[in-house]
Amino acid sequence: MDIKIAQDFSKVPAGRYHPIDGDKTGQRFRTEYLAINLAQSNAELEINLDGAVGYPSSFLEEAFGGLVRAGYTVEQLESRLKIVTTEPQKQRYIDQIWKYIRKAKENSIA
Amino acid sequence: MRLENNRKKIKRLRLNARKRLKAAIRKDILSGRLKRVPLQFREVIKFECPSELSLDRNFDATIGFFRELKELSNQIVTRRAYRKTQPVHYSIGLQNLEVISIRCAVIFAAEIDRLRRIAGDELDYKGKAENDKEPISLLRQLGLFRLVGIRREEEVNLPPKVAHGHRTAIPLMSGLNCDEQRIVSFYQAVETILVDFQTTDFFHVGMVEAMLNATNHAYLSEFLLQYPSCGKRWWAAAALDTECSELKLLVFDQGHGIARTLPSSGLIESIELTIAKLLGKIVSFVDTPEEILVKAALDTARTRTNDDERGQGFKDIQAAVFEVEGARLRIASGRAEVTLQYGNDTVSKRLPYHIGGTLIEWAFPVQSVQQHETEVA
Repeated sequence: MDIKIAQDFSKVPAGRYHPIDGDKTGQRFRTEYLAINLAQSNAELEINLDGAVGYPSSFLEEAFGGLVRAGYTVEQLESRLKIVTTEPQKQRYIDQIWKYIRKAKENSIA
Repeated sequence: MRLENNRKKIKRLRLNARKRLKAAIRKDILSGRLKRVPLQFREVIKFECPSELSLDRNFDATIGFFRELKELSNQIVTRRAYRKTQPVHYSIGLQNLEVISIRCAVIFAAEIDRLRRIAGDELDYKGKAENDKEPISLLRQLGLFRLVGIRREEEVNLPPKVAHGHRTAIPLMSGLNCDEQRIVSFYQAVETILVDFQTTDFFHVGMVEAMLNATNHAYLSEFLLQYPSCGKRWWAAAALDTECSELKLLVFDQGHGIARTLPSSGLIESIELTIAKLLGKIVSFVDTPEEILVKAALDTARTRTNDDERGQGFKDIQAAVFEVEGARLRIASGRAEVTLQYGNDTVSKRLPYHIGGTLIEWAFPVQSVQQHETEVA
């Protein structure tokens, strides 16, 4: 299974909470795309970052860090999620996403 | 015949209703329940713009002018206690205006927008569209005259023209959130003033986080605003300055300012703030508390809500400065201004008065933007 954020969701994702922050927020992406696809099967889920203009930190943190707060473990996400991009300038977002996932785990323990 | 009788009947009913309303109002006035509108609200309120609107070069007169405009909104609200027979008439004399900075033009247009949203049809502009001096042209492009209700037919729906020696701006945009359509419209508008412009990630993340900072942090309800607000609103604009070859993006809010809404991070900063409060006013090389807090906002992971997962927004706001050679970020918030420049240290400046919110301005050399986009493409 794969999700191309720019094609399937938005080229200009923005904001954390839906609908307060907007209509293409991290919360909406998590609940309507990530969580549903993760729940549907145990297959690997590929998230493609290509094509979007950019990913504000609030969007990424709520979309991916929010998965940990929603009950997924870091190990589950590491085995199920594959985040990819062919654009060099978007490589840093992959590191950012995993940082948010691990940080969310630390904060939930603290 | 029947139709004629019906018309006469309707006319008679309307006249009777109007007589009854007038009698009720007269009775309320005589009994003291409803007062006549004071004289000050019945005359045209005139504002005179200073010759230079600039936070750098004419700060006192500029802020004084904006404060006078803000007071009008208080008057509108006060006036609602009285019987309303006509709107408040006002005019703004712009004939003396010779110089206006892009920042002040955005603040000016945003203030007019706020007045319009608060007052609605209770406010009536009696001035006229001035001639096309360069500052007036900039204000017209931002939409100031449209906001006060003056329209020039030939300007409706025309794309802005880039003229040598003139600045070109997109119409001021405003919002209460970051809906996709609004964001896309903004970027499309910027493309009309800079042909080679393509939105890249640092533009997008910086703009979005600045807008979210306005809607989520600037208008905290535990503090009272001095003037009526029109919601947790941001205003955004872009302008191309062909003389100094710069593209400027701006986001403005009319909130409390960063220093008010950012919590202290711990004991050391509290001590620092106390010292700054004591010495900052008398010793110029000591940062004031406002300067310290605005600089502190640029530290990563500083959050207002104490939620651990928030607080990266200002890192995104700064990102553009580290990506584009020659780029500059200037944040004027409350009584402090901080400038971050590519390759240089952060510089702060105290402001004599609160500017009425937070204004975030990115300035990019056009050549660097185009070069960066070529590298990215």
